[in-house]
Amino acid sequence: MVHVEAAAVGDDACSVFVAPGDTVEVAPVEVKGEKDAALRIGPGLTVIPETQLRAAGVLDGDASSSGNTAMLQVVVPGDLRRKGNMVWVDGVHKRALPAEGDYVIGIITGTPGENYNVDIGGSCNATLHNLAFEGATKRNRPRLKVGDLVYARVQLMHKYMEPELTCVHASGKAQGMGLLEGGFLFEISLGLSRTLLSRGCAVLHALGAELPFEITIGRNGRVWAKAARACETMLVVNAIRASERLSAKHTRELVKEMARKIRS
Amino acid sequence: MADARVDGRKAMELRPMQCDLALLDKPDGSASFSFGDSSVMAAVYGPRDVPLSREKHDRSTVEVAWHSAPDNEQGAALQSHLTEFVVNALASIHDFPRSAIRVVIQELNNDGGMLACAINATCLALMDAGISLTAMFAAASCAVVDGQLILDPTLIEQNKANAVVVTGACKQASKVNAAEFVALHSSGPCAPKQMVTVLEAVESATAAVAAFLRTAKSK
Repeated sequence: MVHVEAAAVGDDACSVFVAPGDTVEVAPVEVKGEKDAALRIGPGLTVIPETQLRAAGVLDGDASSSGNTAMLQVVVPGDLRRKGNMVWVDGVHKRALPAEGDYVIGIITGTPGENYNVDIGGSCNATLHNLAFEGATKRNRPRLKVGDLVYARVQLMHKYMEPELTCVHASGKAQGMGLLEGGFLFEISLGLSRTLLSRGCAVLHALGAELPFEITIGRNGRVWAKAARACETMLVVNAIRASERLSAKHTRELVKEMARKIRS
Repeated sequence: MADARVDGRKAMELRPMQCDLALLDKPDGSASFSFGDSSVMAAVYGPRDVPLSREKHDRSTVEVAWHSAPDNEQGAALQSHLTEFVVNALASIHDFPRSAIRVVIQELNNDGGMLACAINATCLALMDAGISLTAMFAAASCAVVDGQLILDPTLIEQNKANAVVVTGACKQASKVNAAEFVALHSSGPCAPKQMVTVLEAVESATAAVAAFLRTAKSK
């Protein structure tokens, strides 16, 4: 078994493979502009209860003697990453477990009462209130049908409750959220959806240079794309799917080649 | 020589292990695992919705479906129950109340030690699906033939060993936890003293299997 010590995760660009059950020891670092150096623990890690540490003889004496070093347990396999005081495990997963604040693409599965039931890829359906849209009133509100797609933000996520969605910001503006009309929905891995959302994503820049299209990327691994013609939409879909296993340079070449074929 | 086995292995030698990850498209996680000619495929779905009748308010419902190879239809219920027990013990089922984690196990070829194969494949498939586990687990089996311990028996050896066949699923050790058995299945009579040595053999074998699973996943 590998124990990843503080030294190994001390630098920002670290990438150590960890498996469930591994123990990770991390000490918070002073960050400029932040008052207290507190660790922020991301997905894939849990804090080991103090009682368990004591029983194992890792923690001796009083709790303060261990300083601020946290003993964490890995629960999913992946690469351990650290940025400042944030630690998390980066794994490749297909099943989405949306978190509060995530932007997701949902499919309307029912319209009971004042709510819409929305499938967002989690273990149960989310609810979306029919007034949670920009400028919606009781008289004037969007009428969604079963099978419609919505781009929404997860407003409430609690393990004992159904997740709640909203298509409107606190400011009252939709800012792109709401019904997605036409287009094509497809699913990708969660890792790829993160890549697409990151700045300077090669495939999106390459596609943007070739043709105009609309795209919406949900953190639940769903992507909606729409271009002027169906074959152009499929080009976008195929290019994104292929980009998962290609380098930035190869992606650019592939997109150019695909665009050239579609024009001829 | 008492040491030699039909396939030329030493008494405490495992058959070569092989595994494949994420080989199915539809499930959230899948894996195959084989010990020599014994081969099993596991698929994991979940956490997903669960019928109201099987819903548990504070934890995920773990369901294991076991599909036997055509020539081996015995013991499927017992083996699926044991696999279910292992998943219940080590997956973070309390993180996903009112949901289901479904494991589907398909025997591909039976040459002994199917339960151990299935538990190892399940561990890989759960990791592939990204379901939180408190620790990695692995399993191995051991038989006693004419008073001699042999690790990872083939089907012929397993049938010959009327004394005892033990399959143990072992939670792997970490800095704060010692290795411990989470499930154990044995058949046939065995003296307590002998059982201790059998368990030690199985435990060290599972450590070797777990190391293999770990390298497989990290690739």
